[in-house]
Amino acid sequence: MAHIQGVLFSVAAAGYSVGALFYAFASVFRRPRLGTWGTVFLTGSLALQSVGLTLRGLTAGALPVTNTPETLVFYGWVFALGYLVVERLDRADRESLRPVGAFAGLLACGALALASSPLTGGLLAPQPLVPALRSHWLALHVSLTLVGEGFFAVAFVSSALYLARERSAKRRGGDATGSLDRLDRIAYRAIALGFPFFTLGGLFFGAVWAKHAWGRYWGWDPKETFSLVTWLAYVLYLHLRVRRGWRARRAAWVAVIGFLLALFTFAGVNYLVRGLHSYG
Amino acid sequence: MPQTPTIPNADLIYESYGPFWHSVIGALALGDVFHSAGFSALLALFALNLVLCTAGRVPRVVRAILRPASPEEGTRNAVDLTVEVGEKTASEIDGATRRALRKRRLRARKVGGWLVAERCRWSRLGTDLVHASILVILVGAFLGVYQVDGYFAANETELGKTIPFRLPSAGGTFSVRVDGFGAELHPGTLSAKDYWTRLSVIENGVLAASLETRVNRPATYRGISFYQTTYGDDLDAARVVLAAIDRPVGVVVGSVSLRVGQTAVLSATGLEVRLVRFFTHLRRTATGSLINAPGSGVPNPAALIDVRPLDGGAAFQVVAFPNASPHDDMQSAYAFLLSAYEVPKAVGIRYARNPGYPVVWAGLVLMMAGLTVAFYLPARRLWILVEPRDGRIILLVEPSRGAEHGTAWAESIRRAIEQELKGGW
Repeated sequence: MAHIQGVLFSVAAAGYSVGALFYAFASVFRRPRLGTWGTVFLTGSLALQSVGLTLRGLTAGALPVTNTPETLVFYGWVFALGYLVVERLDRADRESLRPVGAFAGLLACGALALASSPLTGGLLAPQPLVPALRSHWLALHVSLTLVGEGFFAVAFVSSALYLARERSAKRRGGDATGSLDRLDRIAYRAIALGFPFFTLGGLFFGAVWAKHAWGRYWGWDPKETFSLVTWLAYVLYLHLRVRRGWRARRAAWVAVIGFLLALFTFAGVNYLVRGLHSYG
Repeated sequence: MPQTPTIPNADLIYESYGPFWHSVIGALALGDVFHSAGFSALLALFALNLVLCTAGRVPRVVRAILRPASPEEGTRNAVDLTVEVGEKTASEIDGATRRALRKRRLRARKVGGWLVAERCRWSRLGTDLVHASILVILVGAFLGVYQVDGYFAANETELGKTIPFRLPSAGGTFSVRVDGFGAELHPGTLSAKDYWTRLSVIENGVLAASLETRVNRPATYRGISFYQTTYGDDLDAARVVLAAIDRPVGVVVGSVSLRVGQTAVLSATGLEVRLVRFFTHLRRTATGSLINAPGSGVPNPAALIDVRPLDGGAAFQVVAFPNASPHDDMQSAYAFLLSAYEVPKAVGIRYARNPGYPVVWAGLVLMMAGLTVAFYLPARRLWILVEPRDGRIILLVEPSRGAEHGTAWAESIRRAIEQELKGGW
């Protein structure tokens, strides 16, 4: 079974990179058909990865997010899912999304590659669950948080592209207003989609599980604290955009910083401080 | 900076910085920022900010929902569209527009000379719901000052230990007895699957309830929940047997059994020994330094002992391992071996009753409702001036959150009106 999962994840990683290439070519050579192939490859890879994740979950008896490599595989899955959802919702403006798709495909492929690399210990056969993780809240808490972060990743890529394109347009003296506006709108849409998921999974279900497991809903554990900081960064983005009319470069910077905080909460906190969220 | 709730010995770390920095850190409460008066003051300021913001916003939003200002009075962030109407009269346009709106299940009303079509108009209050939810959560957190909260531990030698409880509001008392605890393993492995503890509740001298608490499945009695928090070796209750070996001849000349903190005299050696600490995973590196890494790798037990010569010589410390090591301390004519050890298992139980929990949950539910409404059910308002100008009518989209919203929705209505008008031609 572990061998089948490995093959599925490897094929999915290859599919993501091919999809990313199609998106990149579609964007550079302005060939919409190539973009359609990118979507086909990304969707197919997502389906294969979903099968792999389901098999692993069935083998382990839990959602496969119980260690770093498994969580990275799931992270790659939500990157691709987040992008495809935004592409579907914004299908009228699909062509503007192609460069974002290229980076989403690369991120998904990168997450899968990192999961199986020696840096994270590799994707070994599922290990028995430690008592603390034997809870149905695990699936709800982690999956919804990561789905939220998948959308944030799309917003990050759009915002980073916005900043890069704006810089390049300034340097070359061209007018990229149309494509910049679209990237700005995609970033906002992705954050508006992801924010409720992140709040529900990261804060709400996290608090409920903490109450069940540790007897309190909030304890200022480093992971909790940085989740709150990440949440506040996106609250700031939404407030500045909706109330203060922040758009364009300023909003893009907040989205980029928000995702860097999300990444730090996901990966960095555990390496710096040992807290209640450190398992194994 | 290490915080007390996460790292219980954070204060010891700060002590190691020296008295000056220790006092500075203590005065500024940097070792427990989130429970400091300064942080509470910031939270209070934040709550006040939210109250004032909500109090100022809600009446304005409700007014905008019930009595929207027409475009002549100024509609912010409007996006305008037009429909070619040819030679149609105002009443024909009005009829076609109303039919198009009805088909899309939108009710139209007249405000001034405009037709107004709306969707999810009350969702404009979504943001205020989220703001109110944060206030509710803060109130719940504040109620936490009335909580019953604590921790007790028991090791295998302490079964039958009772812990008294006094309920502040009900005024009742009862005690909890630890009857047993243990670990369940995953079949065919040495990995723990679950930890459990059995407790008996004694009230007025009689058994009132038998409880079992497990990880993620707390047991509750009279509103107090008992959480299976820790399970592991109780190193402070370890018992070791130390053997003293005469180095020159390599013969055991005496042995002694000690608990942590106990002192005994090895009369044949003229030394008094005290067991300072017991380790399960103490390792020597290639350079001879020691690394304590509990819970990792193969166990490597060791005992740290204070040795004091009875003849008044200088005291010293020795680490005793099960096997003699070339790095053994050579300060004495005797070497020490850890010939046996026994570490009892222990369990830690946290108990809590917090009157703020239901309030916090209510706040979180309110927050999710507010976010769902604000982000997934956005308010839309479309102003349609049915009086044709230059053969066209004007549609103004008034979005709830910035100009980028509602354009596609308005465009679809524009097309629907166009269709209705064409149908009439």
